[in-house]
Amino acid sequence: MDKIPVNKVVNSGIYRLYSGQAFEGSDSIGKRYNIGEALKSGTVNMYVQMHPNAVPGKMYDLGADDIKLKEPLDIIYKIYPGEVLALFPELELVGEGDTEMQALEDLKCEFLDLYEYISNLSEDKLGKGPKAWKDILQRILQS
Amino acid sequence: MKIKDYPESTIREKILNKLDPDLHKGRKHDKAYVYVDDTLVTKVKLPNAHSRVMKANKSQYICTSLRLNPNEFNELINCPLRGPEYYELLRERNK
Repeated sequence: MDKIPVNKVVNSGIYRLYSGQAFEGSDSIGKRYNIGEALKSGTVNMYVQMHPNAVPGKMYDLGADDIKLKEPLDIIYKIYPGEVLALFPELELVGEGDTEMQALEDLKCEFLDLYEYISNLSEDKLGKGPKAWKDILQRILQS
Repeated sequence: MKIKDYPESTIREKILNKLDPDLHKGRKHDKAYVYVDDTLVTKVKLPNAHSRVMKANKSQYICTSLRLNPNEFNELINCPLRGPEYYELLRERNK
């Protein structure tokens, strides 16, 4: 087998070599593997970009009995080595975790926390940005 | 200038101590709601009070939430930017 470089540069981006098997589980993303062992096993076949991958995702539910989404929301996952962020940029909300699932759960909590806080404030207490957040929340949530 | 790496507890402590925001207990993370002249202008998700270092890939969201550029954020956490100066900046940006 030809030697495969551990770090490969493509269009100025650095890619880290992973085994296909390691890549299958999202928990594995960003962890280091023994390349020598992986090479011997013949499973090394994939490069993962070292810079964060932005991946689109959907949120279907907030996990709360009394507050529901009117329709599924488009969110963005940013996958860093060892950490995943889930973003809803319009409300400047960020969820975080070791995996996509944890980041999504955290993002749901961020939605609920913001909704609870902001829905208790009168309009005259809201600046431009928070007023827009409240409008968006009223459009996407029903309680 | 890039955002430097800071312990999460330091970021939390500086925001709470310098900005004196309205602290709201969240389900997983506390939030700091920032008011200017009795009007809510922004919010920030506070890191928990542990010693783990927060990298710029995450602290950039705190920086943006505070309506600061990376240099100003470093000054806030490092000390030169005091609370009253922060509110002066925020007042300007909220016009």
